[in-house]
Amino acid sequence: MKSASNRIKIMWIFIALSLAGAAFLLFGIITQGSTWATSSRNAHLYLNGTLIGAGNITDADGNILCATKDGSRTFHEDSEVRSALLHVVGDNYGYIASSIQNQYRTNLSGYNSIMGVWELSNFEQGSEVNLSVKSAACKAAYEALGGRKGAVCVYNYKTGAVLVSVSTPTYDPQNIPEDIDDNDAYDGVYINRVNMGLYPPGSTFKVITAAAAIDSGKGETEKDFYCDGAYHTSYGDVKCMSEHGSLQMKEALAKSCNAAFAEIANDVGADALQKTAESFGYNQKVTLGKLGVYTSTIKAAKDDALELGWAGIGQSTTLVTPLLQTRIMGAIANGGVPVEPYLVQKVTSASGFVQETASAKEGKRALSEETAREVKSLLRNNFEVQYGDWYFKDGMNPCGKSGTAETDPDKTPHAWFTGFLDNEQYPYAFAVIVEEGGSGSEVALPVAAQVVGALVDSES
Amino acid sequence: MAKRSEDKALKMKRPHKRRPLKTIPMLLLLTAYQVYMFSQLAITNIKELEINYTMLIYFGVFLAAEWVYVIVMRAFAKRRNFEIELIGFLLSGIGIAAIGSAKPDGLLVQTAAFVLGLIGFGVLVWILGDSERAMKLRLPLGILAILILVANIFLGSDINGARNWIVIGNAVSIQPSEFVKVIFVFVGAATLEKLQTSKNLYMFIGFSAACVGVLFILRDFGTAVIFFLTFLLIAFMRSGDIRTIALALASAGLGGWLIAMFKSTVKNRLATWRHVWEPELIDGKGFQQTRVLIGIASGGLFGLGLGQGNVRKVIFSSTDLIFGVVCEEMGVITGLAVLACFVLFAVYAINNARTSRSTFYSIAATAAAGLLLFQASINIFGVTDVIPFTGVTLPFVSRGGSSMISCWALLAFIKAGDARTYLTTYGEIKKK
Repeated sequence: MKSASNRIKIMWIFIALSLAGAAFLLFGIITQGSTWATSSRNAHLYLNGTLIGAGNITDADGNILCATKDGSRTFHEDSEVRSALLHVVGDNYGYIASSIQNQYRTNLSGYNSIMGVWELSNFEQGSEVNLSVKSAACKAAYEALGGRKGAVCVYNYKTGAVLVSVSTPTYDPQNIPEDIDDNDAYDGVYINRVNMGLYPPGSTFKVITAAAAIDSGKGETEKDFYCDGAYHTSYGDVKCMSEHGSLQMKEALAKSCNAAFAEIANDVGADALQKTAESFGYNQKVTLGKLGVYTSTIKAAKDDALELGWAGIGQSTTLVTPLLQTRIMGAIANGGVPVEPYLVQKVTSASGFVQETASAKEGKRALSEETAREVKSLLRNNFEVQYGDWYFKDGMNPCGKSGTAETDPDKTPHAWFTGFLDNEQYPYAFAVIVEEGGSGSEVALPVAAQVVGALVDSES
Repeated sequence: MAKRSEDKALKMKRPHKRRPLKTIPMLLLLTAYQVYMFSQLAITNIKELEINYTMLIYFGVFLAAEWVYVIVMRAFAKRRNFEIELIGFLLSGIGIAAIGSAKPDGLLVQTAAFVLGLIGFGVLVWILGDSERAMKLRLPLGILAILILVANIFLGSDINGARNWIVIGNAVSIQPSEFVKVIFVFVGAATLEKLQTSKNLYMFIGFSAACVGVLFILRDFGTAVIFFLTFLLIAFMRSGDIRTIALALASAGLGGWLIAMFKSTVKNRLATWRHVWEPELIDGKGFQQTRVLIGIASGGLFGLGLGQGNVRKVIFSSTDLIFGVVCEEMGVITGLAVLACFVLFAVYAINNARTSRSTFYSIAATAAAGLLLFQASINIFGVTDVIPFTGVTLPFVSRGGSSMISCWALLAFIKAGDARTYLTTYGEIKKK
């Protein structure tokens, strides 16, 4: 009966089905293994809902920001450092959603896809997450904000390392204030304003309008503008802070003339303005490792000279995060190419195996090298003729732009300062916002100068 | 063209000759691996050198049985190839280790069943050596199988929702359906070999229906599915003429009947399938699957070491969920190796079919390998939520004396399907 032995070959189908099942299972293990392992039902990792041996979180200098001691999570010894880095490190209850404690729980827990929880069961400790932030400089930023609401972000535009990321209001996770949910002073305290705070950019947006103007090739840099206190359109006026009279773009940027920039925006056109903004990261997904970053948005009005005028000076409907502001400054400082910011520098398992390391990763080019150089010289000029280099040490070559962003006619405007040091040794780009702080150059710039100064001091 | 047919002719003529694996070095390697696993359990504290002597005895007996079997078979039966047995040893050893971790109390029965299974294996291979002798057993065994199952209905005790146990005295409980599996394969293959009359065919269909029917009464859904799949496999191998229709109809009827009878169970299982992580299921109907998946992920590629896992603490860890224990403590690699062993059995059965002495041997070997592969797949993929969860055990690995003995008996069919089994060292068919 030859046919029977031939039909035995049907077994190959069953074998193939079994192997397909195995492949499916393996695929599940590879793609979902970390979710399964870090399930709160995993008794290897959790005891009564808390991680048993979560690894340390350390700063750039190796200071321990968070560690597990006797089964509970303890933070840095200095209350101000704890408060300054609350939003980066996270709390013990998961209220700070976009934090290292929350988003890097898998690593901290001691799980990895190859060894499972073997490291944890043998070393009783999860992986160490080493951050790029400098706790001393963050503390300086927290102090410089002086109890006002706002955010400070500084990053190295050559490497991408985020050195300072502070958001206020904040609290000491080891001493949670009792009135945290009732007191207005703690409004939005669980939000990290650096990557999740969306604000109108105000005059800081003029940098982008200027870049769009340079790229337009319409001779905007040589054009003479006249400011009589407003830019007039058939729909209404874009008001300026004063009557600047006759001036060119360079001077208009230093004096932050609204009339000139509203006109430039209309000369360049909505499409070009939007395109430039998008190349800088507006309407694009910006990443910071596994931490969530809100997308900054712009929608330049096409058939409305007034709205487009407002958009050109960063009012209208445009919204931006301090993190993107920092990245925009980084792009200009770095010859037109932004280096993607990162916060997690290194993840090391308890046995000393390095699981992750950050490295400089370039984003999409935002503007041509030549345009970047021109914009940089404009921002440098701002300090030379307007803000004054004395805010920084000699030879730092600060470049930047202030902003005073209106939100509500009854409220004091937000104070912005965005900039960078054009300096090989200290390649820092930064953004500071003080909510309802008033003038950008008077309020936000000193904060930026203080923080960057602290960073420079710690490096030298 | 001419060359091709020549090649083909050559291929057909070439005697089936495969170099046997060198048994002793392989067994040494296997023993080393097993000692490594067992020592993790038996040495409870390496610094103080605290040793669990009871466990040591079981492990010693297990290792000794492997060696005694191989030495005796080489010396007296002049066997030279032991691939099937070595794979069986590997699986049984992994099972013993996992049970040592999940339920050390079960080691006595498991080790004893392994020794009995090995003896039964030897005896069955000998019985199958003479097909005349084997054929005579067909009818009595078929009747015995039905009797066992019927006895099960009346004498059976409910354990874990299924009534598939017979408890003798207070100490010994046996699971008759495990032994019926062996008879099922035997009767199926023996009936169909001389299938010149429809009578034989209808007898087999009737026998299958009776088995599946009794299993329904016993509420043993998993085993019923395995019987049904094996029935399909045997039926397919036999079909190819007018009777195909009868078989196809019977298959469809049996399948439909099975589903209708287990309707609520099937519905229940399907509702949970691929939803085990949902909050209302994770600690309920998806409890076992999620704990196994957590265990697999926690174990990583190489496992946490024996006695270090959490799946072992879950109910049914030593039976239904043993795959989770194996993966968590011995690694995903070992888990995949376990599945690979069953695939190897099947490949063996297929390859040997060509040179088998008669279709009885090739069908029996394939049916046995198929049954083992079905059961292993249903278990492994069921507990990992790849397919709906069905409470069947993992052959050779799960705790269970009846199961261990019946698995080795099934292995005897695969062994008997290999023509080399009955050759002497001189390459002649052994005469009686």
